[in-house]
Amino acid sequence: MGMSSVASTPSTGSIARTCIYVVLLVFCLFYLVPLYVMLVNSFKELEEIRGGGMLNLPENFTTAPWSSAWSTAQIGVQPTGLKPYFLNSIYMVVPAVFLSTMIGALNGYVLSKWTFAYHRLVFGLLLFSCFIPFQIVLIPMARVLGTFGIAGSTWGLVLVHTVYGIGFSTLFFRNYYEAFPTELIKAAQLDGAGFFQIFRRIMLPSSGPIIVVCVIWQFTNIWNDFLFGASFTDFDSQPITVALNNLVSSSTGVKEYNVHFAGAILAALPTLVVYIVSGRYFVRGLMAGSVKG
Amino acid sequence: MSFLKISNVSKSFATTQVLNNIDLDIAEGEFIVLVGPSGCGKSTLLNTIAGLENVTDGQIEIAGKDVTHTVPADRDIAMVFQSYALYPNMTVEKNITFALEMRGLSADAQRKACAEVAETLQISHLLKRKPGQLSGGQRQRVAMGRALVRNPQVFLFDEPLSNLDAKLRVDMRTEIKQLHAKLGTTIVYVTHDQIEAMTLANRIAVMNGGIIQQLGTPDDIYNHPANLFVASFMGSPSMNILDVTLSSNKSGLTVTLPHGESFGLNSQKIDLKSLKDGKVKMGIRPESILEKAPANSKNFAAIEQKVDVVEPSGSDTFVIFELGGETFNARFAGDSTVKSGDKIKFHFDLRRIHFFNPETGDRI
Repeated sequence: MGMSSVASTPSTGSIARTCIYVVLLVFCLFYLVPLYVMLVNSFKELEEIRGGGMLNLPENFTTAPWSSAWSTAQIGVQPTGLKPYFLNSIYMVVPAVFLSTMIGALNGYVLSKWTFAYHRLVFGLLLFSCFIPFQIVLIPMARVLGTFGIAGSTWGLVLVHTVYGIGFSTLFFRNYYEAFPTELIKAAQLDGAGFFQIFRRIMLPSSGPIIVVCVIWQFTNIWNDFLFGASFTDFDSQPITVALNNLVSSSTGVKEYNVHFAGAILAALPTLVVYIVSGRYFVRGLMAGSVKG
Repeated sequence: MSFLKISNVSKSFATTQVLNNIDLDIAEGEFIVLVGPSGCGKSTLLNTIAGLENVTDGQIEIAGKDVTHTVPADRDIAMVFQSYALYPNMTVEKNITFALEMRGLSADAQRKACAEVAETLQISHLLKRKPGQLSGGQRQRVAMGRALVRNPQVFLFDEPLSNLDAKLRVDMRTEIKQLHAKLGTTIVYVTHDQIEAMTLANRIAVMNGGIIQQLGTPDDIYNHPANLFVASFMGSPSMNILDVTLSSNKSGLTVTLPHGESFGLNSQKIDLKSLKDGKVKMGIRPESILEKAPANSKNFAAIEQKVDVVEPSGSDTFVIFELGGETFNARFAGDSTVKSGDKIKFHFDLRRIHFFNPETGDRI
């Protein structure tokens, strides 16, 4: 492995190589320093932070800011910590990601393998939805949610994010399925499989890489969304992004920077985990061997 | 009584007509090969039989049942695809039994049928593997197994051997022929390889431009091609074609070559009235041009010409020369000592000369 990767790299002079590494290192630090500052300061007591030395390691290591951010910090009027809002986000993100991915897969399947007159136009319109700015749909969406009676609830947010996610997930799956051998569909038709059987038994099991891509994309976007979360929820259904904002920007009392740092990391953690856990499936080619090889 | 009956089938995509009024009657147990250059409509015809494409016009019957508008699954046919189209996520066993599962057979019946087919195709040891772990030849067998297990009325093969290497292709060709002899099921087989067509078929349908140019036994097609297209498409190297003039006198017909040389024909009776000034296209296969002919035989015309290129292939020696502005190819014996630049006599076997109408291309 080592040998082959060395052999496959174009040879460059040692000066060029040194430059490349220096530049990479600088960018690495550039991105990692904020995370480092947040991490070390989240384990310090507030006095220590006030004393300066942002980059120092904690002198008195404490996990109190973390437990405070999680379960006791004042958010809005209640001292609940981020925990209930974290759960709100989970309740919102899991169904929304699942639904938008499934609908996207089904759309992609139809738009690539069961084409109909004007299927390109339909695909184009779906793509168009990727480019609609969030702000434009706020008021119409509020009306829709009101009409359905799910305004101010987690299910309302699930609907908004699912609808918004379909454009991208359709794009992902349609392009993936476009390269999927149509002969497999024909073979399955001859074998007696119907529309949904082919989808469930042939297409989905071969869609691993694109499902991962789609899930990471949707999860990150939906989890990190602030605007819809702030607009369409009431106090009990706020997602963690909104709660974090309320925690950090509360104007009363002392600014507990260590708690804010811990809270911010907590809010970012799930997207990080999703990426680390499923990132390695990105490159896995599950299609190997279906056609001539 | 035809078993698979295709009547007046036409198919167009938008403004392009791919199939033009195809009629084809296939008897039960027959091995029919559809052959033609790419884009001739052979695969489209196969797909319409399978039901994967709808016909624009016409009717398809299988075993006396009109299936023109029946979905593929209910036509009782099985198909082997060029790319094999094995389901990548399923084991070989699951690939083979998928159709049975879709038809609601019990797990036991599925296993039993699969084991039988695997036995026939000698793939029993592969059943637990995924298609990705198989070689090209093994995938080909699995694809056939998937078709066999259904025990269908008709097998459809869409260029099943074209992804295999040369040696394996010849082996599998023999196996397919043996399989057909054993099962006796009707087969429609599409290929662009005319050797495959000749070796496998009971009857060959040569297609071009969405039309069946000729339907006949391999012998018919090869020795009595119906028109110029069939004559030049079938056979490798292909038939030599030359513009000549025919004239008749008391002793029979005389062929005059472009540069003035002429020879008499005593065995052919041709009606010259339909031709303009006796102009025809003459065709002769490379193996009908001999290096040596029996002495004083009236069946051969000797034409002296310079040898341009000699291509030894082991079993044969192909000798290329020019005649009347056309490149001619003669198949001599493998041990021929002819060298390029030699001026030798080429002996044309007059019994194996074909004539075609230069305007219609039809055989005269």
